[in-house]
This record gives sequence, C-alpha cells and structure tokens, in this order.
Amino acid sequence: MTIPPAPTALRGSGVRVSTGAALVGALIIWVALLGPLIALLAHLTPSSVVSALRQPGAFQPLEVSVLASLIALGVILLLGTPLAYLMARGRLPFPRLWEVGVILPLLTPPLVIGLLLIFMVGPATPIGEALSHLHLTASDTFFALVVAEVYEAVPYYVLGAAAAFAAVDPELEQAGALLGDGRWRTWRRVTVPLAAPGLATALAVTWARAMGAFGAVLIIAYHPFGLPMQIWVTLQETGLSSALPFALVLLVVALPLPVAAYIWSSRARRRL
Amino acid sequence: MSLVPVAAASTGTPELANVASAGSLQLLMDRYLGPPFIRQTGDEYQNQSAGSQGLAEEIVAGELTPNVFMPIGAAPMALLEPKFTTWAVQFAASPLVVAYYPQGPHAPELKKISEGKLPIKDLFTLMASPGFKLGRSDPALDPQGQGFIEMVHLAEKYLGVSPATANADLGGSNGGSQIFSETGLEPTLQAGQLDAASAYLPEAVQLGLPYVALPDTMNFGDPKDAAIYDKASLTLSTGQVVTGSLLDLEVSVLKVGGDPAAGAAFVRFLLSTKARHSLTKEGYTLLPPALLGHKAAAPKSIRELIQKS
Amino acid sequence: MLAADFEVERRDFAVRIAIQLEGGERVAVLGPSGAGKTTFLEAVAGLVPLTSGEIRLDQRRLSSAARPRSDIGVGRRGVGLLRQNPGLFPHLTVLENICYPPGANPGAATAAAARMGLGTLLQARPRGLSGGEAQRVALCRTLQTGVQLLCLDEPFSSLDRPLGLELLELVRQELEGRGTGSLLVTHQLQDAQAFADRVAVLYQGSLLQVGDPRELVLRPKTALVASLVGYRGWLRRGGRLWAIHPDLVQISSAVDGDGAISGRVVGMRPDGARIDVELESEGEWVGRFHCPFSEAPELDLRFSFHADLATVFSGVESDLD
Repeated sequence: MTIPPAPTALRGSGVRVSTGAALVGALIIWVALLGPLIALLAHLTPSSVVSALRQPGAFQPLEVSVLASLIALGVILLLGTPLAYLMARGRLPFPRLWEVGVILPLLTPPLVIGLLLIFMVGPATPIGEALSHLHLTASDTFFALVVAEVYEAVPYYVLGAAAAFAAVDPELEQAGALLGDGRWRTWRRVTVPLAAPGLATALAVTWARAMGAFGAVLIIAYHPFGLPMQIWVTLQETGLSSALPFALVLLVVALPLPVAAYIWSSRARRRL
Repeated sequence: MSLVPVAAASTGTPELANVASAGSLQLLMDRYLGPPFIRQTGDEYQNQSAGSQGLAEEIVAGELTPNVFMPIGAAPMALLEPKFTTWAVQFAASPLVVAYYPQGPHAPELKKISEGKLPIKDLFTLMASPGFKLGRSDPALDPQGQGFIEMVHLAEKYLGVSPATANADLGGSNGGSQIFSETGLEPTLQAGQLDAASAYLPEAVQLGLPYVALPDTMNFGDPKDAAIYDKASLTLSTGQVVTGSLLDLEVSVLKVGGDPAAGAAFVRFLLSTKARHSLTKEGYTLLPPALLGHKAAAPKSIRELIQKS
Repeated sequence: MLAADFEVERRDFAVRIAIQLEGGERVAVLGPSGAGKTTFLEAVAGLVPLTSGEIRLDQRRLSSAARPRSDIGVGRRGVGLLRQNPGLFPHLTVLENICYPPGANPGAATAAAARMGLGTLLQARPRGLSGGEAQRVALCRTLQTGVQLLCLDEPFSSLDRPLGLELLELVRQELEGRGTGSLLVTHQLQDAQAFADRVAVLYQGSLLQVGDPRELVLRPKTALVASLVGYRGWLRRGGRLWAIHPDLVQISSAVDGDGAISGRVVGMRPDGARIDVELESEGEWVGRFHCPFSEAPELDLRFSFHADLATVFSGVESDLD
C-alpha cells in the first residue's frame, strides 16, 4: 500500500517555513557582520572626520596602503595564478602536499607569520642578504610591507583561483587543442575568460585582505605606516575619535574594487 | 625598610586591582608581582601592559578604566593629571641601555665597549656606521622611544658626539626604518635581524640579552642627574613637547576604575620588601619611595608607609 | 592516406589496429560498447600515446611508440574530432566559435555556416542552441581547420534518431564536398552503411573484419561478426552453426527438401508499422523477423525456409561468446 502524498497545503507551508528560517538566519549574520560598520558610522561626526583628515600627512598612510596593496596584488597574480592552475588541473605531483602548503599560512595567525618572516627574510638571513644586493630590505621598509601583505593575502587568491580554474571544463581546453591551438592560445582565449568571474571574486577577497593586513605588518613592517597601522598608532596616540576617521577612509578606499569585481563577475557569469 | 604586612583591601568581598602598566613590566607583573599580591591580600588582580604613552592616551579618552596606573616615566603620568589623579609614588627606575645581538658581526666590539675596554663614545660611532642595523621603539607611543632620541642628544652635549654622528645614529632621513612596534622590536633583535636595539636594563636582563650600559648622565636612570635629563627635549607628532626625565617607575591609584581600596593595597604591596626584592632581581634600580605631586591627596595608608621607610 | 598499425594497452585488453584509408575515404568502426572504438579514435587524434606501432598520415608520422617525443601535437595532425559533447566555447558566439581555429577564414566560415543552416544563429550563444544545432556548429568549426581526416565518436547518439540521421547525412555531404576522409564510430549498422565506404568491425580491441558494407552483412567471416552485424537466430545442425538474419527470412508454408528449415511461429508483436514475429525451430528459438501487418502470420503457423538463406559456420568460425 502506498502512502498518500501530503496534502498540498501542508507541503507548501513546509517549504515556506524552511525558506523563512533560512532568510532569518541570513539576516542575522548579515546584520552581525555590518554591526561594526554601523557602530563606526554612528560614532563619527563629519567634523571629526574632516579635522582628522586635515592633519598634515594624513593621506600619506592611504597612499602607502594603496600602493603597497596594488603591488602585492600584482605579485600575487603573477606568482599565484600558475600555482592555482596547476593545482586545479591536478598536474602537480603529491597534490595534497601542495594544498597543505597553501592552507598553512591561512591557519597561521598573521602575528606568527610576521615573527617567522623575521627568520626567513630578515636582513641577516641568507635571503635577506641576497635581497640587499638588490638594495632591498625586508624589515621596516615599504618592501617589507608588500612582503607582509603578500603573505597574508596570497592563500586566499590561490584557493579562489584554483576553484575558478577547476570549474572550467577540461574538455573545452582539449577542444581548443584539437582545433589547432597552442597551449598559450587556449589559455588566453578559453581558460582565462571562462575562469574570469571566479578569478575576479578571488581577487576581490585578496585585495581586501592585503589592504587590511595587520598582524605580520606589525612585526616586520611597522614603518612606513599603512592605514591599518595608522589606525593602531593613532588610537594609542590620541584616542578613538581621531583613529576612527582613518577606519572610514580605509573602508571607503578599499571597498570600490571588490564591489566592482563582484558586479562584473556576476554579469560575466550570466553571459556564459 | 621594615616588613610591613599588607592587609586585605576590605574584610568583605575581594576587590579588583585593575592595573595598566608599562609594556616592559609585563613579565614582572604577571609572574612576580601579581600572584603574590593575590595570595597576600586575597584581592583579585588584572594587568594590561602596553606602551605607557599610549596607555595614558587611552585612559584620557575613556577607552581604558584601570584603577592603578604604573607607567615608566613622568610624561605619561603627567597626561593624567589632574583629572584622573594628582599624586604618584616613585619607587624604582628602569635605565636605558643598548641591547645587542651576541652573535652579530658587531658583537665583539660592543662587548668591549660594555666592558669598558673601549670608550663609550665609540658606541655612537659604531651605531652610525653604514650597515649597522639599529632598532628602537616608537617615540609617539613609548617613553623608551622618546628616551633613546633624547639620550643621543645628550651624548652630543656630554660625550662630544658630533651632530652628524648623532643624526646618523637616529637613522638620518630614513629614521622611520629604525622604528619598530613594541611587539616586533625584541623578536627582531633576538632573531639576529638587528645588531642592536634600545631597551630597558630590566628588559635586557629578562631576555638574557647582552647590553651596553650607558653613563648615568644619559641613561635616565639616576635621580641625581634629573637636571641633565631635563636639558633634552622632543616634540611629538601630536604637538606635545616632552623633556627628558628619569625613567622611573611611578604608580598611582586613579579616580576612575572603582575599587580604590584594592588599588591602594596594590600600591602598598609594591612598596613591600618582597616586591622590592623581585624588582631588584629583575634588574630594576630601587629608589627610595617618594610621593610626588599633591601629597595630601594620596591615601593615608600609603602616606604612612612612605613616611615609615 | 592514413596508415595505422598500432596497439594501445587498456586496462582490460589491448586495442590492436591495422588499417589503411585512401584519401577521402570514409570508414565506419562498428562494435559494441567497450570494444575500444573510442580508444582507436583517440589514438588517431593524438589524445593517447601508443604502446607499440605507429600512425602515419600521408607519410607524416603522427604518432610512434618507439619515439613518443616526436609525436605530433593534438591540433597539428590534420585530424579533427567530433564527440558527443560538442565542446562549444560558451563565452563566444556561434560565429566566433566557428572562426576560432587559428587561420580560419571568416568569409569561408560564414559561407560554410550558411550552407549548414546556421545562417540565422551566428550571433547566438551556445547556451541557447539545441543539441542538433550545437553539433552543426561544432562540425562547421572543426572543418575550418582544414582537416584531412575527421574522426566522429558517435556525436549524434544523444539526439533523436531522425535528427541524428539527418546530421550524419550533412556530415557526409560536407566531407564529400571537401574530399576529407573520415572515421566514424558507431554501434548502429545502418549509420555505418549509409555513411561509409567500408565498415570495420571491432570487438574487444581487435578488428574482426573490414569490408564493403553489404559484403559484411551478407558474408560475415565468423559467427562473432555475424552476431555484430545483425544475425539473431542460431541453429546447431549436424555439427554446424546456422546463423539467421531477420531481414533475410521469408516465411513460406511450403518449402520442402533437404535444405529446408522448418519451425513455427511462437509470438508476434507490433513494431511501428510492421510486426515482429518470433520463430522457433526444433525447440530452439531461431529469431525474430519483420513483416508487414498485411502479411501477419497466424500464431503457431508452421513455416520453413530455405537453408541457403542462412549463413553457415563450421569449426573455429562458429565460435561465439
């Protein structure tokens, strides 16, 4: 004997309840995430923002942060993309090892990354000495800031980009090859355009992480001040009300790129 | 000084001594002062250590509400007067030294200087040499950072160090690259990525780092040289002008933060033999306890304790 | 044009091929699933390395087991491949897809597209295409590479039969027009016969018989081949195996003589516009055959048919799995 299906009314409300519960959950977490921003805006008066930004050299940390993050992003793109692609296509020997290598910095608190970077690229280490031949020091310099940002942000890019590449059907790459493409042409005309939406969102996250890098920066790149360090120091120097405007600046400056990336990404996805 | 029993803050419920102390005091507080205080008085205890200047700013801004403030140096305490307190007890000093990395290329020369085999003036010439990696803490946040700069200026005056050398010592136009966060300075030195760094004598002792002691006239550790210290000054980026002063350990009970009895009990504990013994062991210079500021405003028990010693 | 004499090891058996194709010749590879047909095509297309032997196209050595490093890369062999998945690039329009191959001539491409009925779809995206349209685009695209040999791995098997046949005919016309040869993999005998000049029967990696499509069906060399080209009824008689093809059976109620096989009708079933009739002889199921509705026999009708309409095997050739 078969069990009769649930009456339509009950079935419908069951679906409604679970969708409703999901929405409530989503709302809670979203509000929680935005809470600090709301607190920030509530505590800022336009005059305090203006006076903080009128201080001499107030925009210096902004320039430092943006420039360092752009350079870090470029380095991450250049070096992280091949790794992400090879990981996605399973062309690396001992794949688990490579994955662990990418996840480890993610698991390491940024403060600890900074402490360990001292041992790795400090001026008196072999790498540090090699760098000094290139007139570069990875301690308390702009270069050190870029290094710290790269370390804090690169796992996010590699993992996101690997997922984006993995989502590109390998048979399409094979199709390109069968039609006479060299490897590079298929990469350029098929793989990258198809992975681009995922790459864009990965870059958005990476940029956010680089701009907000603090733990490793505190240790090896205290100077020159980027925005996060500026907020930290200003907080201790003159207190919360003068530090918060810089937090607002950080958000205002750092936000457009990820937002644009997400918008572009979802548009590009719909076209596929 | 005779052994004075430190009574519990109150006979009833334990109160909380909520201390904000200088960064370099963290180990001393957590290991050698906090636990004995708890055992002896039955009060609760909590400590937060960070750059003294920064702590003072946070207290002024209302972000921190300790009931005991224990900075190094008078400038941070001065920020809190008169709103948060009008008195302070000076009880020890933390002179400035130059700690160095024992396996560094310059270590042998620094060792000779520290042993007196080479004149102290050589220290400044050495620090000015190209490729010498010196680190110091942020003067904006930390009396140690301020003191180091003032110390170099005093060296110009009293050791005949040339202005050019002094400038080079402080990094010249790239001075920023010498400035490290408190968290980062010592690990970088310990890892050998700096040749030398500013430090408090107790810090060097606690970390087991070799150091070059500085003359009393410029180590901000001897009360007798207060007048000399006063001659050096520095303008911070906030506009506040700080003059060189004794890097003394001061302590006061703040008007905010509640539990004043526990606060006072902690101060009395600091002046006890046991506490002073710990201070000496960790490298601090003991000073006879002295009341500064508006003496009458200090709690009676503290005044009496100081008068007895 | 194509000289293939090679072997590719697979997990379960080795695929061993020795075959030659003239320029412009179309050969169908017929066989059940798992016979190694796809492996055959993949080897010719350069997607799998050879375990032994070599493949040449017009004197160019495409693949060699002895010198694998000098194997010519996938897109430069003059061999194209069409599969069930058309592999259209989703981010490009139909026209961009067709013009994708390096060196494709947009004018020729557009003309070819029009000829294949894609003229109105040039600005469409692959996502909006039907299965048949997508395969036409894939075909048009591959032909822009100027291939000498087109490999087809059952590209139309997921489409409905009439459409599949129509597309196969389109392919045949295009190839004929260009003089391009072809290797068509199929498990449908009719497709093989309609499309190809020769049919090769592949079973468990070995080519059992290669020949004219008609010859193959009328004169299969072994019982195994017979089973693969449509013979359904089997009778053991006098130490020999008789294979009966349903299309070659004619029912008559009065066939006598030594060569007659007699039996009876044991079942009937409509099958489209005709009837599927089941026959039994001497207790053995002999097979099915078709006849029009109008000629439907009675159940239990006794029948006989002449022995020389059956193909007879003896000895080794009568081996069947």
